[in-house]
Amino acid sequence: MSQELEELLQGGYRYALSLCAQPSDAQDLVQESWARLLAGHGQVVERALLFRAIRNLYIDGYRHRRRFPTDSLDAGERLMPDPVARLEEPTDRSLQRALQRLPDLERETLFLAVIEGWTASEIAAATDRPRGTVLSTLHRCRRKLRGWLEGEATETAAPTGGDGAPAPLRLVGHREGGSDG
Amino acid sequence: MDEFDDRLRAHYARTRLSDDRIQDLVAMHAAAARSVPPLRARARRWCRRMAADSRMASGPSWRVVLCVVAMVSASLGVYHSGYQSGERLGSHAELGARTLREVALNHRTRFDPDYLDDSIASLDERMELLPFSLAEPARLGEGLTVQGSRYCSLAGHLAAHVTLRDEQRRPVSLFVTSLQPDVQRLDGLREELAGLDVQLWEEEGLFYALARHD
Repeated sequence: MSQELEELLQGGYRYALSLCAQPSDAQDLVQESWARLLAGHGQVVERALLFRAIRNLYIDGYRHRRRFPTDSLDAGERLMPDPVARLEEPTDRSLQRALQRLPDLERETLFLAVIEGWTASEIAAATDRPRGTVLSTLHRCRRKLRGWLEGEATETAAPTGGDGAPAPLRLVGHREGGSDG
Repeated sequence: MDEFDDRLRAHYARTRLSDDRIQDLVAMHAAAARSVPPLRARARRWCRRMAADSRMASGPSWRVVLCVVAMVSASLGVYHSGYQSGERLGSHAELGARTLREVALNHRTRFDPDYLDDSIASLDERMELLPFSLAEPARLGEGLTVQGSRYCSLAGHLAAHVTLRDEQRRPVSLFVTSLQPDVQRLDGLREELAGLDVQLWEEEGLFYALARHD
């Protein structure tokens, strides 16, 4: 059971990260959604329910930030390393940077399609958008990511020459039009 | 599947919540499983079961009957949960450790306050959903500036999370909830957690938790 819960929570965390892109925000999002679900339902074991709670909370927070822009109380004030919040560092930093440049909802769409394996129709139903919009979003964000990664690869492969120069990035393939499983 | 998808999958697969954080979230789940399900959930489950058992079609008449029965069920639930409150939340030590950890985790969340104000009295007027009156505890001490507040939960009870700053502009969190039999047992607990000083106490009919940097 705890293995299943861990998988569920890791999945929820990755989904939260696909929405807000910042690990600390994603942690908060998962924790808050988890607490609310447990308070409302007693026990949570459904992935779809957790994902929906995370999405709703993210959208609430987004609307709130737009209406009442404030400085985060903790912004820039992590006074000591947080042992509660240690993260494994992603090693594909160029992809990480490129993902962070994507608009949140595009990154979410890509995550649901590629990582969760949802069809365009399933994503459309979950995100209240037409299926055609989902497909075009997938196409657009793949194209953007590919462009950014290629651009970065070109820059980093430029003649820096000596030791310690970053390894050239692997160019990635591209599938036209997304998928609909 | 193309190379880009593989790269994306590998990237997300490396992105994981820490073991400590997972442990805390799983512990929250275990605590919820041990406790009596919330009334709302019980009523909802009961209604679903009733509808399935009697194969009732949707319509106004059975909804009224269900509402009446749900209200009775809710009243019984209140009695039941009050009756069991001494045992359902596990041992004193376990509840204490869980609550201290919850306070530390909540302190570290970076959600913006629902209400921005510089006094607890003003926040009390604005937090209309609280089933108690928010009051500043005598133990809070000097030199803290109120920033705002938001709704949260503490040991399963609706609570206010008041955010403050100390004289060095470091964030401080005060949590306030009504004094329930389960949390009353935690009066006086204090622990250092992940660089935070976390303390729990009751005062004037309210239960308080404070988290601040050492």
